[in-house]
Amino acid sequence: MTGAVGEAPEQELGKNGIRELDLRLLRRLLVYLRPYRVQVAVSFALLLAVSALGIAAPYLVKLTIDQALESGGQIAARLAELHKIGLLYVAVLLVTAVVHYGQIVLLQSTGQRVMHDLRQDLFGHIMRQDLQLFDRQPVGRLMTRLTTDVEAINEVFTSGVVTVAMDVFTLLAIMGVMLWMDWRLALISFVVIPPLMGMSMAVRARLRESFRKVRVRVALINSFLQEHIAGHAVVQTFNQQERRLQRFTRFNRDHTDAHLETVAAFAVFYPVVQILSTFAVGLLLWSGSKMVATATVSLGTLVAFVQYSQRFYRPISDLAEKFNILQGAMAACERIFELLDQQAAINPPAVVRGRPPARGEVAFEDVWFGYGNGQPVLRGLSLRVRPGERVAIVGSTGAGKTTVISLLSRFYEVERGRVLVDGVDVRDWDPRELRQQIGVVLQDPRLFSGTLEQNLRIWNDALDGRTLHDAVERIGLSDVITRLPNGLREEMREGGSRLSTGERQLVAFARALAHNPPVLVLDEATASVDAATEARIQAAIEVLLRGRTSLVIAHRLSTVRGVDRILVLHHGRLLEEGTHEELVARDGLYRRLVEIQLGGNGTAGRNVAA
Amino acid sequence: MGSTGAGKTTLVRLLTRQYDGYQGRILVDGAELRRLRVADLRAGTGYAPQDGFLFSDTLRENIVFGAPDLGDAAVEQLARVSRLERDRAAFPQGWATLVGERGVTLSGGQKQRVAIARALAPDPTLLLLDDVFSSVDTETEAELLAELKAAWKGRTVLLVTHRLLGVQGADQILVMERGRIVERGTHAGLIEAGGLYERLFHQQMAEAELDVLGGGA
Repeated sequence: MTGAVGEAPEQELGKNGIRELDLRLLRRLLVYLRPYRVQVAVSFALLLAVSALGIAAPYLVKLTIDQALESGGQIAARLAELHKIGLLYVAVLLVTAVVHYGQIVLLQSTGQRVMHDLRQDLFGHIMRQDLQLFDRQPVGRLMTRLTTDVEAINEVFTSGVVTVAMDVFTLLAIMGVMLWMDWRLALISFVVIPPLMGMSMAVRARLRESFRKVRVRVALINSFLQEHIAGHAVVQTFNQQERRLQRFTRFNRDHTDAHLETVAAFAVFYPVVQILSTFAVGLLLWSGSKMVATATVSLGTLVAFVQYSQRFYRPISDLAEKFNILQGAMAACERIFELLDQQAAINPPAVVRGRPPARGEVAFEDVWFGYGNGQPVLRGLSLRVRPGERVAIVGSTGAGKTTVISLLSRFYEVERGRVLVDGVDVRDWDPRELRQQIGVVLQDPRLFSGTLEQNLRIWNDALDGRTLHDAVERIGLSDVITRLPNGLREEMREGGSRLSTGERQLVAFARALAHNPPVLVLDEATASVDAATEARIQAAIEVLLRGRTSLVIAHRLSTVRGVDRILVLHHGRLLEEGTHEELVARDGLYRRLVEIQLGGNGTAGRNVAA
Repeated sequence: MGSTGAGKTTLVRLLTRQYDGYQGRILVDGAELRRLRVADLRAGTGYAPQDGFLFSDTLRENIVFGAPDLGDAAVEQLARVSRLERDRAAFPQGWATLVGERGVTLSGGQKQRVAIARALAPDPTLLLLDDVFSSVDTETEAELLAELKAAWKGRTVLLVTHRLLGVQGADQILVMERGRIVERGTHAGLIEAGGLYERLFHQQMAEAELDVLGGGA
């Protein structure tokens, strides 16, 4: 048993866990508030109004006592005064309720919109990243950024910054009003502020550590759960259910303990605050009563002071908790910006030089590339495909065939050399326009959840119905569609499980055909389908490739026969090229590949060549 | 062996009783699988899944996952058999190195080799290796196979693979296609029969040959 599991992530998270109010981060967050500055300004104004109205209430109580109850004038006049103040009090309460309602709605909806924008930015950012990000980052971590962390940032707005601002404002305003009403009583009320602040800060320091522990341990539990749900088959087949449960018990208990620490801190804190504030009120009543007796202070003022001081101690004691919420949110904020700051390796060029529609000329010039593990996959690959030419790429596993597709669509950046489309480096194309020029049909085409039609369009609304139907017809997908209960409107499950492998292939073909790209890349499927389906797929491929530059990663001899030229890739280089007949006659690698396909002995190959 | 979707992984999963809803019978030591105690069945089974799923723990913890009481000597032995040892220099803290979430810090081949060591750790009588060589290079595969041959003496081994060159010595080779076994027999017998196996075998033979040829060209 090693303790490493718990410790390493705890340290790692600890680094980000403690985050004081970071102005640099706050400033970046403010950028997201800018589009809503009107709402934010109004919300703040309403907030001030709520605070001010809250301060008005005790003052009205003072007026009631001093001018209606204790004034000693005519009963009728005092009653009239009482009515007036009473109505005013009700009015203040009503207005406070309405303003507060408006303030909450406005603030919360702005918070939700900011989150919406942030998620939008994050998702867009992730979608723009090159594939290497996904090779490196666990998917779970990216998901957390988009969900939990964005949620935490909302707290910065709604419970953090705004309420702290409101508390501070209320505090200062009350202090001002108190000093204005009677500075001696005010100073007496302020006596407990230093110990209250001191307590609050001390507890904050303790809570900060406890809350950090809670966050770290929640993260540990989350990743433990995620891992064991995904790997439950491994746990079961190794009979480790009991032991894993014990391990979980440990994490779970640690988490509970951390929570209990915060509970303990609060449990001490609030009673002490209660004692301190009760003491303060007592002190106020004790010295205030004497002043009322000597008529240096009115009774109304004293009552108002008691009410004010109650509104006064609460925010001070709450500051501790608010700061902790802010800290958590700041940590989330930092993680989000860290992701947003990650530069996409694939960037649109400053000056776009490639112009669609392309003629469909493709060239690789001395291209070197590896997937970042020190193993080059392409080692100086050079090849050229003329517009409209049909080319097959053959080679054994690991020769670099699939990498050619990825580089052509610029999913990865080349290390050395150039990839050209229409004589223009792919780095000088707008990546979006480049990818519109290149249709890619992969071995196991992915269907997204949505209708079949949406899957054919891939959300391209510009595509008119006729083109779509035409493509479906020509690929031979119509009878598949008529068989589906809802036709084109049929909902596809994730991964397209309602269709067979062969039918999914046809959908992918129709999709490519409808979008009519000048260049088509096809990774021929190796999965076993029955002979009838195979024939349909071959016919569809023929339709799809006609009239465009095509690169086919071929696995079958029958496909290779129909192309203009064959490129034989080996260890990331172009080793041979030519027509089937030329290559067989040459007696090189291709000849051997053909012989293998035809049954492994040399004579069969020679028969083909003859 | 068999192509994608032929049902190889399903077969292995049924044997570890990850799924129960099959028709027909599966017999282990003559007893129907569903009659055996799951814990007993699994205790005698070493399983290396296709993706080599690892936990975010140390290498050592992953290796002894199914046999937590193993000592250092046994871990060294397992690392040797799984050819993990030769990568030791790449692990900063040796076997105490953390592998990251789902083993993200390891290469595909390293992950698979850890999974093989893990499968061997409980000293199982039945060893199920599901396509464990897919991410290791041919050279490592050959070395692994040579070492493993010693390790699987006295065990029943079911090896799912796409590469046929290393397994000619198997007592029985089963060729699957669309959920059925279409060919079965020894290497010699299947070559003789001249079916799918024979074709694939020669194709791979020639590809291996091409590797040598092409590397020199």
